[in-house]
Amino acid sequence: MPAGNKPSAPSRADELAEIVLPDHECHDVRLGDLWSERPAALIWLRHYG
Amino acid sequence: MDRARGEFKAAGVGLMLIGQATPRQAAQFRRRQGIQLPVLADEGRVSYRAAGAKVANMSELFGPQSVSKGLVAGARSRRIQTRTVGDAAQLGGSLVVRPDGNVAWSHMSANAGDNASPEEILAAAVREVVA
Repeated sequence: MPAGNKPSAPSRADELAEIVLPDHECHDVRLGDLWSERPAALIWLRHYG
Repeated sequence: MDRARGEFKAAGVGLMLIGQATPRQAAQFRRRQGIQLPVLADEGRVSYRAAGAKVANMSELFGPQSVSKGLVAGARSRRIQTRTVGDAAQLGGSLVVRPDGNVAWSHMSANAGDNASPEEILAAAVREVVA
């Protein structure tokens, strides 16, 4: 999202669900698996530091 | 957030942190901050874009609201800001997602000081479990 725009969360997490990211131990995690069986809270950190 | 992990677990709600760096940097961040939650590494910020996270402009980074909230947050956490890893203008946010893929609740940051509290996120998530 360009700077200065209002943030807008999606109403559905379909795009997020297909994203695969490594965890801190380099194990791949598919985001959709996090909420496949129970609600999940995802927190995007601003930065490390 | 890490301190609330037991409450999320007790409520039957998954909890995951996502940061904008490499797995190695995520591991260093966990160690340095004493965090036990897993941290996903999104160096390319793909998930940030998909979640609608904003890249801040100068006033959203250094405006009075951002600075004052940053000072309060720093005092509460008793943690010192260390070297920034990642794009300092990238803002974060929070989503609660239902098993059907619908986003039940969201708070994406409008400026650098605009963050949902762990209590707010937990309350939103617990509502989904109860519903």
